[in-house]
Amino acid sequence: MAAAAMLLIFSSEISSAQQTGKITVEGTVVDESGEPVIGAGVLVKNTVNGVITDVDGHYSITVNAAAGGGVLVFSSLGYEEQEVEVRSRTTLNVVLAAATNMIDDVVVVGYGTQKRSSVVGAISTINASDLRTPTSQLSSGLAGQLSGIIAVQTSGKPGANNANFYIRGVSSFQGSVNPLVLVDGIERNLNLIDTEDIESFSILKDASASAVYGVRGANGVILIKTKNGSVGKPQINLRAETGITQPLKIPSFVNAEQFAQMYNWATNSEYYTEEDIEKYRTQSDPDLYPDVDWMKTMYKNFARLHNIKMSVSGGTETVRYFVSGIMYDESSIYRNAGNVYDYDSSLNYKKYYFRANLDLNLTSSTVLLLNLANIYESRILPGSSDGNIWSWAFSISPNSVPKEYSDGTIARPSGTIENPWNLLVHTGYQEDFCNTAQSVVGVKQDLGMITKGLTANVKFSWDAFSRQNLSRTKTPTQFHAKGRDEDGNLIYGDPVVKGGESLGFSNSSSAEITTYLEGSVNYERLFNDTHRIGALFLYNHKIHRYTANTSATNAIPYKNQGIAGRLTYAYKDRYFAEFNVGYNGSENFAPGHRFGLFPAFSAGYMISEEPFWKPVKNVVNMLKFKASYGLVGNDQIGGARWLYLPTIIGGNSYTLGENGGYGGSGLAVGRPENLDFSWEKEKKLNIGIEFELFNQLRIMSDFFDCRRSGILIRRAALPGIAGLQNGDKLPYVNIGETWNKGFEVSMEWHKKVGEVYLTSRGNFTYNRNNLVNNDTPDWEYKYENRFGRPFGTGANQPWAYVALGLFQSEEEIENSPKQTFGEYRVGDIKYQDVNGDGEINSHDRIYLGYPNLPEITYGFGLNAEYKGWDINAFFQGISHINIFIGGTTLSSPFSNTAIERAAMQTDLWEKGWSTLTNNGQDLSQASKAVYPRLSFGSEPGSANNNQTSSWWQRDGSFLRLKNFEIGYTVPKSTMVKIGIAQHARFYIAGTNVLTFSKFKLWDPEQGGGQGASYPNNRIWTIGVNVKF
Amino acid sequence: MKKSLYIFILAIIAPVFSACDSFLDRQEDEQMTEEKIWKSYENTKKYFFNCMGYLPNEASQFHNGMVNFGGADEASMTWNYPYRHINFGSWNVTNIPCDKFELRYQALRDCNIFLRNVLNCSDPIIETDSSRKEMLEVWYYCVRWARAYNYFLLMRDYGPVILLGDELIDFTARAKDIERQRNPWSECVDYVVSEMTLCAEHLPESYNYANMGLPTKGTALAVISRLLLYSARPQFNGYPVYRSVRNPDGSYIFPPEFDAQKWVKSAEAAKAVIDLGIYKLYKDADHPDDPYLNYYGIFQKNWNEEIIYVDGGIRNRRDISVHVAPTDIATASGGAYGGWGPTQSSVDSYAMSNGRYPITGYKKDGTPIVDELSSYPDVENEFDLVSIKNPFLKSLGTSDADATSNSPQMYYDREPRFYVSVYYPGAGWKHGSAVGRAYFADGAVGHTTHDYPKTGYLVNKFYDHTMDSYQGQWGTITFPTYRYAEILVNFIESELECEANGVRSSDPSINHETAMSLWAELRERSGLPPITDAYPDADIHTLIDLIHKERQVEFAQEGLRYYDIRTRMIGTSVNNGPVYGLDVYVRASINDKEVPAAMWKRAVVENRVFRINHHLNPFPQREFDRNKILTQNYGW
Repeated sequence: MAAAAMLLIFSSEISSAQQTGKITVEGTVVDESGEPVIGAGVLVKNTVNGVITDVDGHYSITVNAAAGGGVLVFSSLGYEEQEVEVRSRTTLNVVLAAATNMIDDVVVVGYGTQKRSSVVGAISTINASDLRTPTSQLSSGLAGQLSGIIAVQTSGKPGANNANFYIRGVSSFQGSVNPLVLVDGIERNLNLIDTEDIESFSILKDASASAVYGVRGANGVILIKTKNGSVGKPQINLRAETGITQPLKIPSFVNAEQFAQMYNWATNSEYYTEEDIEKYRTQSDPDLYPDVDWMKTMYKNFARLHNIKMSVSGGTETVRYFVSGIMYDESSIYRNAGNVYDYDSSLNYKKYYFRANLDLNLTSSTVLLLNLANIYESRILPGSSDGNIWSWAFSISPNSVPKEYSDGTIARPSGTIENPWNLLVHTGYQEDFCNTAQSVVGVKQDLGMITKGLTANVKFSWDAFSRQNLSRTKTPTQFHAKGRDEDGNLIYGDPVVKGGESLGFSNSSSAEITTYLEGSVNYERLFNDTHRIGALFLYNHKIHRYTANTSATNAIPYKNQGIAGRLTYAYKDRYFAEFNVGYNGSENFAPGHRFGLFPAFSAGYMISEEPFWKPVKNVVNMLKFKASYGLVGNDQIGGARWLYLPTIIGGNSYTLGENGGYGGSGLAVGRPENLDFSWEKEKKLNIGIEFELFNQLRIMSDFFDCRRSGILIRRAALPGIAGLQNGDKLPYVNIGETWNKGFEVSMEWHKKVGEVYLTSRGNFTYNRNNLVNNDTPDWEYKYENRFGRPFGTGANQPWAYVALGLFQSEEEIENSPKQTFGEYRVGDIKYQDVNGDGEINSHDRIYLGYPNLPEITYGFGLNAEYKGWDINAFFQGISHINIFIGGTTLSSPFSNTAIERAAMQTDLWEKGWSTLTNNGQDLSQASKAVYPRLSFGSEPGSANNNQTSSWWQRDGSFLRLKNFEIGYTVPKSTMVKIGIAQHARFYIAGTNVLTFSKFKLWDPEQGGGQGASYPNNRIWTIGVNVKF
Repeated sequence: MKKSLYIFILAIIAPVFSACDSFLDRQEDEQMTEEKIWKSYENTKKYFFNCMGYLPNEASQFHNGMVNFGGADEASMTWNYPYRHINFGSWNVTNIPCDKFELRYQALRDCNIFLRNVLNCSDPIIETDSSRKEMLEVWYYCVRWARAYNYFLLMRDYGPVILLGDELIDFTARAKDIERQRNPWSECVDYVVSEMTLCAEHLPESYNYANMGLPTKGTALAVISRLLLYSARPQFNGYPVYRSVRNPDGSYIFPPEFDAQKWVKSAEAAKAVIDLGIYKLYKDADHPDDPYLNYYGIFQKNWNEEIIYVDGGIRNRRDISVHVAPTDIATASGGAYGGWGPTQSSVDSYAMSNGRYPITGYKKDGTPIVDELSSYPDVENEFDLVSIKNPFLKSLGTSDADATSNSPQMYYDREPRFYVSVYYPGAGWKHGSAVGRAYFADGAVGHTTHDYPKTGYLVNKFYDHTMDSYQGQWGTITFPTYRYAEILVNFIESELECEANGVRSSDPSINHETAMSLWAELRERSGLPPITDAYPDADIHTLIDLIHKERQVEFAQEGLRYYDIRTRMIGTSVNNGPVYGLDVYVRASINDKEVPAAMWKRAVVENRVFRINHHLNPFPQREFDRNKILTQNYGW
């Protein structure tokens, strides 16, 4: 068929050659600064006759003399397309204007594209280059970049340093809150796409934008389109960078001397004598009196990453291609055992990535699309789990054992207490392989012969993911020295743990496959230059399966099917109206209840296009109002699959018969049948305004109001008389409700000041998501009601006691309401008696502070270019967020009474009540204490101080210099002289350069607890970007 | 070329657009479904088991899971189970010991599901086997009985409850839409009685070997009798303070006025069981004149003719025996946990062999007031040791030496039921052919672990002394949840109350003479003279008092006393304050053969708290949070 298509094109060339009379047009294409534009396409409009410019921007093209030579179309990536009538001229010099977002370009919308001016939905777009991040995970670059996106990254672990992201906050407290991410129209993992390959990045936020996704659209949609080739000779783009990653902050811990002192205070004893403490101080015997800084022992100060990306694109009228490849390598801060083993157990992540996007013209009206990508990731991991390593590193006391004994013997405190160094380096290693294959094949048919503006598409995709884990692990033989013999040698005795001498082997795997089919008909036409009409009708279905390491239930395919439709109308590009509808469903619901209709209406008014606007058009170049209202759904509702089906459970058994031999086990309906079981529904209202001032500043602002209902919850309000108050029977129903509202503003600004070209952008998003109904009763104390309270992800607004301070004296204890969490003393936390009943009990908790997801996110950046130099700074921040600190290293180091597992952070030494008062000897400093009195085991104070209370609540807000970059672009003239490449830019870039926060113990984005996980990184890279 | 391309495209699009709902069907994996249950006879039977399985079974739940054995004045159980919260008054709306409120309503829901479907069971085997078709009908009425019985169980704990009938409450409804207020007591009683009456019309009088244990016609009528007796008693018959308990609409939940006719109905209900003529008082087949074996056999001879209903069917006797057998005697070391101790007041409640009750009351300090006509020794001498040949052990065939002990004369010459029911320390404990002796002073055999009776006595009648539990042989038990003797006592109490209140049944056979002759029959079985022989001058009120005593003795430790205390509203007087037993904290050694003398005294075992509100359970707080029109019971 391809050959036939070629023939067809060939014949059309012949037919044009048969025309008599030709003229040659030549000229130079330059940009606004006069630099030649290399490789720009020059095409005779509505033909396949085209050439490209050379290194001087020069071109020469032969056109038909008839009709004055027709119209030439000049185009180049990053510039505005320009059409020039030849009018029989033979020389045409053209200046191409740089393309910016402010110009009326095209926006990718659900299942299509629209002119920016006609967009009436709430859609944000961004240049993919702004999302660039030195790490392997695209999502880690999202924070602060677009209005409406909330992104939080909690780990800097190589290969897992992705961020969780949400659009306009979260609206469900049970179901999934993750946006639908579509790459080339297929649901895919955002992090597997490289920014260099992205042509457009859009987020759809309101109902009008996402209604076509119906039951999948309620959490917002992210649309990513990868690049396609364009006509021209091969363009090669190479980027190579290398860098270092540094932990932003790892908590610091008390040393052995401080530890001994605190242990004595907590136990009110002289367990550690002055002599012992002296030995810790002088380190005269580091085997028996060790002082280990476990953080420094286990983790390095920096790690490395390398990244090479290359892409080639180009094509002819018949075939256009975009091919790219990436090699990525990132090491971790984990140390290894040195020369002990022939393998390196330190965490390492590598990614190999390949993508090929091909467009083939089968006929003059038929295009075949083929997108193929393969992503291969490999990881080396320590033999022990990350969680285990970090939790033991945050548990072991500084004086328990040395890293290893001085004679190389592997140390371990006891059978139940691990040495984290051993977990990190002495337990073998694991290899983890992931392979993702992504394929799309499509046919695009222009049906202009039926009626102008009609096109049809068919697209089929199959993706496969597989993961294999090979573990070669062991438990080493470990010893605990008991003392020294007469010769001074360490006495070990029997090992604490008798381990193996060789690595064991185990493996596991998982796999998924997804197929997707889509067919659509599109219509778009402008009548009389006045009425612009568009329509879309689309069918799709998807089948997703888990094919390895799964359960009987999960192995059953996950299916979606649906129809989407759209009607758009614009009058003189001034008034816009749009109707979107999704009609789709999933296999998770009962037959007859599987499909839902999700309509959305929207309208816009571009007042600045009105004739009467002319007088102020110089000041307000553009002003547009828009509004949308509609319904969208979320079928990722949580809970088991097919909840509409009743479950059949074992039930009671019964004894029957003369000898009891005729009874047996029972059978009963567990969860009752619920055919109405359904998806979450969200009614979204969006009101927006866009305006542009002085051709420099563009501002977009949206207000949104989202009411979600049908959130799946287990009935909590059912009285016992319903007869379902039983774990196997309590039904799930769709009755949870939330109300999420807020606003967002984004702005873009550009100005040329002399030789300096300045651009700036910023955005601000505020949203509050309140719980409206979670089916709990109206409690006696109204402040206990959760209704009307905000919530985060997997967590509600904190429900905690109000801490009033630490008890300063016995009299204060005597004169305060009784606290019912066990005994307490001076130096322990005092709580507020909220209901005033004279006793602090579980009814004295209130909702206070903010949940774990910020209500305010913002970002702003400034970019300046001067001659070949450019500098770029981008700040990002979050606010209205609270975190809780806790965990044994901060709040209860001696809760496990084992002396070897009582690690404490330095902050606890510096600001602890026990330190400041010398364990109650001198109370003058007591009021400065940030941590209550040390308690031991379950002794007085332990339970009292560990209640969830405002005492442990911290402000998680921060502002950070997220990206900072300085680059130098070699002038084109120099490049031409060198003659190898067309473009070269060198740069140095920093990520997470500076952080401003009230919270100092660790990076606040990492979240609450005690900071016991792989920290977020500061990253410095140097790189070069060359285009051939 | 182009045409072929269009055809190609249409060929792809056409099936796509013609797709339908079936695309989303779940891949078949043959799950069990609700419909499949009713398509199979065997699965329907399993659902039947599930419904019946909600009912209690006393033979294994007496010590945990039920409070009516350990929560009355007749026993102190050692184990720290829910009845101890009740005994010490440490319960409230959020801590209701053995709260079965939610479980009973779960049972009601499952019963309703079953009742809707069982008769439509579509297993083809039913068409070919008429016996199975009949069985479906039996199951239907059994579950209908079970549904009504669940209400009865709720009502005896909570009083008037919420009747749901056939309703399956809509689990998707808002809490506001499924609020229910309590049905008045009379409606609750009428509902249970009418359901039980219907069941009585359809249930068989008895079953073959395979279905023994299912409720019968007699069971349904026996439940009516017990319910109507409770309903006629003070708690549910115009108890003044309960008038304040009203629904939000102002209506009374408890009957506001006394109605003497309720005693008539109660008498008639008992008479209906008697008139069936299918039950009789158990007597030993070989020795019908041996009062010991006659009474003992009620709990030993499985499925005997006195038993009307065994809840939970036949059970391994070990469950109950191991809790009443003295530790270290009838089992290898630690193999028994004998800790179910009858209280001294229970011991005191037994008559002398002449039929007169020796202890008529107590002084403030706990000293008993002795009926001088009873032949009981003077109070000062009640613990004087005498040689007692235990007649029950003799009946079991024990040698004179093994049956004889030096024991306080308090235990001398008591009525036969005393020796069958109460194990007093130092007496022989027969197991198989062996006889051991236990007493419960601290450190002695029977008190070497935390498992010992705090009162110093043990319950005797549930253990099978003919089997050697030392060898792991315990036997089986059909625990008599309802037995014919109760119906007789129900009848006598009701008839006497009718007389006392001046009302009569239209049934002429319900009269004083019938009552007295049935009473005599009951006492004769246990070797006692008619009550009128022991108390020749008794007036009607004395007789009512005596039938209460008869009930307390006849059904001692059988779980009835707890509800008798409640329905008669006597908890604050009989189960409040010190509970007495023997002094088991006297030091002893496991080698001591003789019971230390210091143990023989009335010692305070525990101090109980029983307030007026404790006569009924509170409704759980969880229910109030969700059902805003629910009314709490008095005093909670």
